Amino acid sequence: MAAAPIGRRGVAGLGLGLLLGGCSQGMTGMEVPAKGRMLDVAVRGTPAAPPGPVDSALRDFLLSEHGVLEDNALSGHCRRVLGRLLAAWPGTPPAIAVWIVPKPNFTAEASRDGAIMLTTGTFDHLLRQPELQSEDVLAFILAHEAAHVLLGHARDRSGTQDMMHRVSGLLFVGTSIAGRMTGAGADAARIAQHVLIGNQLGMETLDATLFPGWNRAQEYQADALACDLMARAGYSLQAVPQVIAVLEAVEAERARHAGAAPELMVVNGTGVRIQVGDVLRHGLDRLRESHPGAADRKAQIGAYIEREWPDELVEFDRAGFRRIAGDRTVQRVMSDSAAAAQALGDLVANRPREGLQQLAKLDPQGSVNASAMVILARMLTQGVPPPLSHPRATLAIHRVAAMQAERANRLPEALQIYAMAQERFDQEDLLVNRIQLLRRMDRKTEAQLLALRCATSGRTGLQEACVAAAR
Amino acid sequence: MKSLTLSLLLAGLATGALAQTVTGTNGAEVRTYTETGQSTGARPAADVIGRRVATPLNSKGLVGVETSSGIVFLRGSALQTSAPLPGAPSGCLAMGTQRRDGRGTTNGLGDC
Repeated sequence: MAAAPIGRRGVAGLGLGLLLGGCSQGMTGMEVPAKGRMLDVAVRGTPAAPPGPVDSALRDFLLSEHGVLEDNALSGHCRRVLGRLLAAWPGTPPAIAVWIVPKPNFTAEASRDGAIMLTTGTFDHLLRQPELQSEDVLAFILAHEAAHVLLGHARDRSGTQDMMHRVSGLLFVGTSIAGRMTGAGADAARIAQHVLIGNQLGMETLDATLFPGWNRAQEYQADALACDLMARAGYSLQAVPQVIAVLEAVEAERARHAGAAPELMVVNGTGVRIQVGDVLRHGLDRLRESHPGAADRKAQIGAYIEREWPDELVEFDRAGFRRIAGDRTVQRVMSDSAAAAQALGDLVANRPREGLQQLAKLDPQGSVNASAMVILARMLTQGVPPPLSHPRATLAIHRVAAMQAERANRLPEALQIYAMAQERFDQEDLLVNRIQLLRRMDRKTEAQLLALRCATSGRTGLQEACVAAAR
Repeated sequence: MKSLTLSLLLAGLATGALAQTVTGTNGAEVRTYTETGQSTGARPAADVIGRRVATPLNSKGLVGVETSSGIVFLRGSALQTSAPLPGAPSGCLAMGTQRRDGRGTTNGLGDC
């Protein structure tokens, strides 16, 4: 995926991340009180289940080819801010991990198992907007996601699954066509295009699927609890309307660019182009239109602040932000992330030489250089072996490894990788790839058995794709 | 990068033209303050609705609104406005992160 600068689309990610991201059903009976603070309700409610094991908590984030960065300066600063916020939680707060995702979009979210991710794009956006340069702004983003975890919203992601099922038909159409286009003799760039276009859809799906579960009540709950945590931790609540104002701008921008639904496929003289991302985005835009807008949300949380924290007046912590932004190691994480994202974009655009030039800029000792995104790029350009046993290996790494094995006619190995990825990432979609491979290996009975398993999935798109693959 | 940075800066300054007006309040009355944050009581919402925003958000999150009796300072969270409230002008440039050397992308984090 091209490393889009923070712009219209990057800011739109904020809508996905903060406005839409992170939870689904959540606790019932945990409404924001008409009088009194959300924190008092939340601590009396059923305590949120403790976060799951690290691997499980990370799974949602590893569906994107960007993966997560190992511990680094920026995650350290975020942990410090989050620690200050969680210290305001009465009693013992759950341990909530913060992961930095080297992705240019402005997105933050909570995984179903209680980890928080913040993209480098989010921080980059703050760096580009002087009025947003306070630690309080960063604190609200983290507090909002932490609130979803504390309120138990993030654990039930059935809405996520539902949405994934809904878009799976598109995914398989796209994968199938891309497969035909690349063929057995596909080179690295073609594999990159195949996997990353497919994965871009997966990434959009991940963002998107966070959406259906959101509702006005949960957003309000998370905003209110975030305010309580911020105020008790000494952060300025006046950062809250500042952040939500950005969402308002996103919505206005989106409304201005709303248009007719794009075509899924464009056939021209040179072949077939797939636009699954565009189609999906259009669908998401329509979904968003049916949900409460940022203006309502700003008014609601503004009223809450006025009612519950009428005397709160704290200086913005600009020095705290300066410490983070001025940290040379943070700057290195940011610039390396941008270079790595650009390298992947170059690969997708069939510019491997430029991609390698970007990779050469990376700090060899830095966390970005060791990230799944960079490993993926090096697999494609330099033949680096896939680190499939690494706990932070992404779905895209597995897909590329399987395709490379397939290309080298190591079919049993490819089959094994797909099976492993299916289990590890809970991706039933990979049944299609397994069935196709089994057919190619003339193991028809096993292919039929998998097709049968597909049929019991109850997912129309998956069922159709499996049937097509088994023919 | 420098031109991008400057354009972002200029865009930021453009939003600081203070064309905003108060379209609503988050309560029947609003608390008022001095510019430095000393409480001066409360006023009915009607006193500020429809009035022009006179000063950008300051370091305490207070915004000045022009009323018949002069400028009063209110918390940003108390107001709904016709456009997002502008941040306080500062000597800061937007700090891009696309270059390793940071040249042309930061003012050294002065009085941001």
